[in-house]
Amino acid sequence: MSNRSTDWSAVAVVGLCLTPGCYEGGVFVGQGAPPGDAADGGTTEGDSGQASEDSGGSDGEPGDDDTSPLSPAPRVVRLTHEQYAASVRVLVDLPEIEELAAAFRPDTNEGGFFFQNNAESLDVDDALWNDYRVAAAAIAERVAEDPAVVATLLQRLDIDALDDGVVAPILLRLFRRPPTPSQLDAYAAVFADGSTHFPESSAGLAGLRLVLETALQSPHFLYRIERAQEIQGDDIVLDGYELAARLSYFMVGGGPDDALLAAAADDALADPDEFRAQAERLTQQPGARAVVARFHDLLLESERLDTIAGSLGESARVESAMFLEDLIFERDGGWRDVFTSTTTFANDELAAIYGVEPAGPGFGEVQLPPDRRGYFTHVGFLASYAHGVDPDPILRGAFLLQRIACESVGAPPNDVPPLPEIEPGQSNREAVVAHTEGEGTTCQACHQTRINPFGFALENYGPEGRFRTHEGPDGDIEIDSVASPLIDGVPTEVSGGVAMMDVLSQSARVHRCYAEHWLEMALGRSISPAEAEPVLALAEASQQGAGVVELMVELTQTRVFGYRSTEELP
Amino acid sequence: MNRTTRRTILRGAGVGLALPFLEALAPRDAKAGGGLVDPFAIFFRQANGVAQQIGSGPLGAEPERFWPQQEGILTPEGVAGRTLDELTDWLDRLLVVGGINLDEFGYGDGHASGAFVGLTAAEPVVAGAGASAEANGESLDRRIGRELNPDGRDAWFLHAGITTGYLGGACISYDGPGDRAAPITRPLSAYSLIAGAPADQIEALIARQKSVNDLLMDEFAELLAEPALSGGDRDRLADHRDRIRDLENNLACIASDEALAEVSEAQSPGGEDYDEHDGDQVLRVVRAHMAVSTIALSCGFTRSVAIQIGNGLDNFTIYRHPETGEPMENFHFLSHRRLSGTSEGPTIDGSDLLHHFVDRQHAQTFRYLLEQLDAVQLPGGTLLDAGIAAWYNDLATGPAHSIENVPWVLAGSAGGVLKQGE
Repeated sequence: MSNRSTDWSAVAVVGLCLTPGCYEGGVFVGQGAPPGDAADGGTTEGDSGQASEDSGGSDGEPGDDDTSPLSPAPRVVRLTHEQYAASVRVLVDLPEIEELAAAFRPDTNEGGFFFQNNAESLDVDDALWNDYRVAAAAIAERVAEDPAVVATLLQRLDIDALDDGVVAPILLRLFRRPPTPSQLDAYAAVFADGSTHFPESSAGLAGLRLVLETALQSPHFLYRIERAQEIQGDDIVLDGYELAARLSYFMVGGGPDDALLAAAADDALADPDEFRAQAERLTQQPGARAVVARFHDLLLESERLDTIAGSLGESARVESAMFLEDLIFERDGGWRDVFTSTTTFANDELAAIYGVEPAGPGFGEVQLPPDRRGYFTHVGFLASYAHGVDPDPILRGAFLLQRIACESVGAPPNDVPPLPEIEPGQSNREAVVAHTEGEGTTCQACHQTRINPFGFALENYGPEGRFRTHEGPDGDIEIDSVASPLIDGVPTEVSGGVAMMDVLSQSARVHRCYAEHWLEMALGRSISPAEAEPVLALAEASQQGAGVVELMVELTQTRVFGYRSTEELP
Repeated sequence: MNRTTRRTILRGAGVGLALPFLEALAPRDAKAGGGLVDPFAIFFRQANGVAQQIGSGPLGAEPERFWPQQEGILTPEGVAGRTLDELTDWLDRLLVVGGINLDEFGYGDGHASGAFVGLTAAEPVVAGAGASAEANGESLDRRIGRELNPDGRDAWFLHAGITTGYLGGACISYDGPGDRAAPITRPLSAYSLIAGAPADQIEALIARQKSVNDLLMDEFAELLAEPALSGGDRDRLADHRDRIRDLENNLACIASDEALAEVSEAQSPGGEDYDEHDGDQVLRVVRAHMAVSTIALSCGFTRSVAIQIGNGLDNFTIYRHPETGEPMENFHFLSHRRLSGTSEGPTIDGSDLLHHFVDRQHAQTFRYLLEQLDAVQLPGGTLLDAGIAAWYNDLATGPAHSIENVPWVLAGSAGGVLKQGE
């Protein structure tokens, strides 16, 4: 696995000192070199140009020339808890469904897969089986006991009478494909059995309730199942319903709506134009915003903002959410813009730190001053990687190095001495350098050229993210924010945070990292080095300024998204 | 021995259970310590070490605040002023184990060494820095559950506080290398596993779930016959299928109204008023977990429970000052004695004492568990005598995050097997 929910505190706990061999290779976004990359993992000069040439996306159709082998993948993937709620809402949109799903026992973050949808670790234990059972009973009861809900459901299903004719359209939506004859028979029998268990209800309501309670515990609902075996070229072609499910769960986080199911029934999704049109249609659904927000929450570790003291943490949370949603959905912004945007949303508290006039009561859009640019110069990121009176260049740098540039850092050695106190007259940077960059020390290899430079370029932002030119108890120590972070494998001198954001926004590696993370979430698995081509194609589009929404649509057009490998997992 | 159909009675401490007396069902081979309940284990894990004596640190030398004054027999005088004096009334039931070192598991991040190794005794898998590591073995709690739990039930892994963050959040319980157990975060969910449904609905539910299960089993059989499935696909489906149970056996224990009310009130994770950062609220959930666990253990529903607070650092839990009631700094910062989760940053005045306060709150919570277990009367003893309750730590000390002399406090004798009182 290549990604991981990372709290770098513990790295620093041991003294911020990593082994000489910490450079595990600037892997292809984490796991090995892509075709055409240098042996050290593509961190050599010229890497960016190579990515463009390899991408196969020069005609604007990513995936057209994609010949990379697909990795085998599970055929049976359990719904995440968020997907469960959204899948029920395809049928009945009750406000309490999300609360019920939120009560499910949490899934584990396993193997470093921080999107929490790793297909191979989504299992069902005693507790979750019981949670499913309880939720199914509660939802079924809620529906059957509310005439208004039943009326809305029947209207949605275009059914006049509440008899066993309700079974087929319900199963179509919950199982994401038309029920087989044997399933129809089985659930018709369930419908008929309803009165046995709910004698106080009418036969129709009793049948409806028992059908819902049963179907919501069915593996055909709880798992996305791909049975396709038809080979086309080098790949297995998914059938229309499987394509509809893949598309819907990725784009809006829930099961296919009626339009997608109709397209699947007509076998229209095999047409690339129709498939693209459906993807573009889904970008307008509310679920798309939720998917984008969740992706960035997990990627950027938004929960860290909760560790910022006082009300500032909550302010930063709101700013982050508003900034990303506005940038991505109202301005068609992309990952490049996340680094370079000159606007954000601020309340009084944040505006005071930014040194700008607040836009009004509450949060409003503000223009950032010239000393800031993009998300990583916002208060949230800066203050959540700081402590007390000083910023933490090591934590800031480690996050940018690993999470944003997808560079690996090895485990720290044992028994590292703690960082000493800052001496009088010494800057924060000088203290970190003295401790971690000593010639010949075990710390030097990773800190001097890999971790520290990313953090040092942000030294002008204090522990709360306030811009500063001097530090120290008397404010007389001039801050040096000139640094040479490793950009695409090359130490690249920048002077301060704004300059570094400009460089990062153009980094091929940064966009590859971002593209790979999107593919990981879309597929619920790690991306193998052999699957480089779609990553590179999406990365190139992102680097050239494609919006995040556009990138999502393009992702759905890749082979890796629309097909299965002919090889099966063992 | 499957004891899950036994209807039992538990007395006191809010865990009163109704229904016929255990005595009438006592097996002939009753063992010491009760005999009606097979030996069990319940583990309560604390993060970040304890405030114990250190020669130097960010605040200088710190006095001993945890261990007894001398080895040997535990006495009130010997623990006076130490964290362990919270357990003064239980000294003759305790076995305080010192000298546990995790040095064999050399790894730069003490948190990973402690949290991953604590119950697995296996060196972590290190894929990168600390957050990329995983435990490399089955944990003791899961092993006990796998070997001894009736009907193949899972061991219980209960959690309170934030479930995400460092070391992947819930990180002490593993089914195997890299295979994390998923935590139950809501005490009422755990109770639901036992009871199935409110008592007035259970008979109807049993019949209905039987009908549902019959169809589900057919569906799983049909799916498992699919030839294209991988071994992993089959394993996940089969694991799910094996969890589908009829509910008759889940009637073994029914909590009293009072006990259920207490558990329900602490059923706050996800609730509007619940703050999963608030140490008081988190510890209340832990106590509710302990109350439900007592029911489960007494009924033989599970013979293994592990309870974790927070993530690998427990850095999102803000414990409260015992005298003022005000929130202190996050526990991880306190353990470093700094306004930082690192070895740099300004020190926190008196944080060694504040760490000691957090230790005491854990000790008080462990005492609550002992009270719960001891309130269950069995012939010849109490539930506590029949099993073992362990309060253990990932680390030994706060500031250095040392893994030498990690404290383990055991209570109960597991049916007379373990020494107590020293």
